[in-house]
Amino acid sequence: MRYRIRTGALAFILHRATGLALVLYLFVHIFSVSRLANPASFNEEMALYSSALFKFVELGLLGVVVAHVLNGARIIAVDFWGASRKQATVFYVAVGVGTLVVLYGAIHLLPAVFDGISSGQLLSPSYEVIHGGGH
Amino acid sequence: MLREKGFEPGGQFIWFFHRVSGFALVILLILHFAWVHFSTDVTSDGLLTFNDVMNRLSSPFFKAIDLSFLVLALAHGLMGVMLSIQDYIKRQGLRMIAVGTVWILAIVFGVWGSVTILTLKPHEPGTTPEPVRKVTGVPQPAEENQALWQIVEDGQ
Ligand code: HEM
Ligand code: HEM
Repeated sequence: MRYRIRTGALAFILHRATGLALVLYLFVHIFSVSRLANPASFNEEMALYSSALFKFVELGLLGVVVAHVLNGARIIAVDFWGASRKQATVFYVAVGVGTLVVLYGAIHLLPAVFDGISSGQLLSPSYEVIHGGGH
Repeated sequence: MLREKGFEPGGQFIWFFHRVSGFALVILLILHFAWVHFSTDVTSDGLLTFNDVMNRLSSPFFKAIDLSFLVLALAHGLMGVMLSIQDYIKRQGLRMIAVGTVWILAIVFGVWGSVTILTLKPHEPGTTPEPVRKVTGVPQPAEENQALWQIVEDGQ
């Protein structure tokens, strides 16, 4: 008898880990969105998110979201639409779509990350809020 | 014990709720990305600003969508936390503390997020929020900065 990696168990752990990570993200997100109460401070915050380090984190977030969402969609398809006989197809479609979405995100996010690394400015915003500009 | 009193939703209910809310969340999340990324990053000045958010959220329709997104995402995620607690925490006392914490987090963050959405108000009349300008890449010539100020004033 041979040992095989139990892909079902692996998928379960991945789904749970990404789901719990998203809960933590959601708490932080609700906090950061609450700064909408003060427009200037909200814009400052968004400018900070345009820095290299945050773009890198954002790409990681996209990966976590895509993994959880597509695996979740796969589970729903298999459970409700009797896609269980086409499990393999559903799996490859999910992996394919996920790869494309993350690649698309990488194309948009990585240039700023590389800029930041080469200039050593990991936390400087690529946008500046012009104070007093709006009166 | 918490289970009998109804504070701990059962596995069957969560199983069903995860699938229904997961389906709705796919749609809401795609809309969320379209609104916070594509409507700004790609088409406008490139940075999501207070004004971009206000343009959308001044409408009650979009507020309602945002509130349902908040409630569904929190419920979906925290029911997942409940499932994990049921799987890993077997000791009665610890389990009660954990389940209680989840309820407190649900209420605190649910109320906090709703208050943010419901109390949004536009800038004071007569002022506009600070504009933004890109600082990396090609340095902006002085005239262009001048032009940006002009646009802001015209917009008033
Ligand atoms: C947007 C689309 C989403 C879909 C389609 C989706 C789908 C699912 C499904 C079908 C399950 C049940 C898995 C099972 O019974 O084995 C699940 C579990 C879970 N989801 Fe999601 N989900 C989504 C978004 C989210 C978000 C935004 C969060 C966090 C706030 C989240 C957190 C969780 C957690 C913590 C679990 C429990 C995992 C476990 O018990 O192992 N999900 N999701
Ligand atoms: C980097 C990507 C993201 C950005 C820039 C972003 C931005 C925002 C902004 C500006 C708002 C304010 C309301 C609005 O504009 O409609 C908001 C609200 C919200 N976002 Fe995101 N978001 C991102 C990713 C996510 C993800 C992955 C989730 C799911 C876990 C999520 C869930 C929510 C929820 C539930 C609200 C309502 C919060 C509240 O009522 O306080 N967002 N987001």
